[in-house]
Amino acid sequence: MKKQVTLGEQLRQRGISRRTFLKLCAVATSAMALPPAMIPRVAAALDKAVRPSVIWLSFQECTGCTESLTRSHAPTLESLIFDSISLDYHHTLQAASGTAAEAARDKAIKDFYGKYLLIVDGSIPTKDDGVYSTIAGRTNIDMLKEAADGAVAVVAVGTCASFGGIPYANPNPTGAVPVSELVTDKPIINVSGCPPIPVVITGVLAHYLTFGEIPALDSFGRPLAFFGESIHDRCYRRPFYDQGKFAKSFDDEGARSGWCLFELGCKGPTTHNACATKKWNGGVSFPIESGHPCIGCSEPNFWDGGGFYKALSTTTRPLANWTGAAVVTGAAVGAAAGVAAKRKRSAAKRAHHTVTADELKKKEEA
Amino acid sequence: MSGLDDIHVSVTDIDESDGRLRENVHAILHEIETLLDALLQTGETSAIDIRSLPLLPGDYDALASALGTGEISAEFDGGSGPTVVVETGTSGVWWVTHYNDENEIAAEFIEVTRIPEILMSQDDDIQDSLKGLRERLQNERSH
Repeated sequence: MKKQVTLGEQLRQRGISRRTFLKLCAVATSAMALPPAMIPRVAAALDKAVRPSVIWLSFQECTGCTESLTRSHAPTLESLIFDSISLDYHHTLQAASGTAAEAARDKAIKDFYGKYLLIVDGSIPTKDDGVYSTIAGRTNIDMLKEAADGAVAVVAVGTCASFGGIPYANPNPTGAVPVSELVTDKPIINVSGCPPIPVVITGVLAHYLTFGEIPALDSFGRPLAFFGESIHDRCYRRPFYDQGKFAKSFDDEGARSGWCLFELGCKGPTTHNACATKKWNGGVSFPIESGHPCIGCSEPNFWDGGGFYKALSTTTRPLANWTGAAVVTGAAVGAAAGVAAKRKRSAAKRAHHTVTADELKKKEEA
Repeated sequence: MSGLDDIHVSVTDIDESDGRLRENVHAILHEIETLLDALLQTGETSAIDIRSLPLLPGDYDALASALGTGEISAEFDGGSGPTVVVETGTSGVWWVTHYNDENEIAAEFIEVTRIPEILMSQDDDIQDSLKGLRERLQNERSH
């Protein structure tokens, strides 16, 4: 293998000035959700960084995560692919198809064995030996295990790969599991969200590229820089929660005044993600800013959480009379609501009856 | 190019306090006050990543107008989209906006400094220029 060129050398060869390099570092630092004081250190690290080989496998998924990635604006996917990483296999984005595509993956695994970063989106069906999702005649289980063997780390992009997501939802007909149930001997970074925020995906890749190591993770294996705080804690509508001002329906005065959506089922208090600060569509807005409650898509089992429009805790009383105390206790209330939601989730799981086509037919006939 | 900027959004002021600073703007100005004081006392420079703040609709414009517009504005584009550096009406406080090559804002900072580093000529670039200049002079001499 020829000597690998560092990112700094590569940009200089292309006539990119140091000033523009510093700009790219500032953008990368912001994308990684690091404080601006880190820019000089990011610059020093990126200068010496070598483009890592990346293999991206898509399993039981809807391609929403890839759609999200293509909308990253900082850095753009193009600049990421051309400047920062070597995306050696991604069956939706690559030009090669058929056996040539499969050969490209085999070659990347062989050439960069023990060094490449493996990205996975989608859950992996395990029922009936994994026949419910196959690529080129091979099951997802088989392909994941082979690719994970030579990977330095695995990035599970999206809630399906991180926690099972929608395929994993009750009654999970394909026996879908997240990456972490099949890969147990490699570091796994869970970048959850349905889909994840574009800059969060690229931010995690940028972190690996810059520092050559995986970022600090929370108890669910998610990068703390993006998933360290709840939507509720960073929500611009939080003051209304503290004042006990809630929208009661989607068209009432409270909704029009932009009050808290807690009673309309907002899962902000139990959801960890960066939507409230990084926002969507290049920083334009996020669901709550557009008037819709958070559905908690970056949390495990979000689909079985008991209903998107059901308030987290039915016992929340109006806080208007004890505003002062609420400011202090707001976080505790949020945490309590989280516990309640978890309890509710397991109750929902127990109460869930599967309905067969036969039963439905009988009902119709009756 | 049509884009999100073309969709007109009018922000209704939901802040009930007439004429007073919005809460978020108030908090950020306090932070800037501390940083400006540090700049004067110790020369320490600092920056705030605007994209890391949970701003209310309208806060962004309110913050920009609270800081005002100063005497200097500069723009450069080294091939990855323009960067616009504007001195605010608050001396020592600069508003730096980095765009990507599709003219979307990629990152935005408020910098508290005498001059943002990104405007200064960088040693690497100066060395390259010096080398180029010397080669040119060498060539002239040998002709």
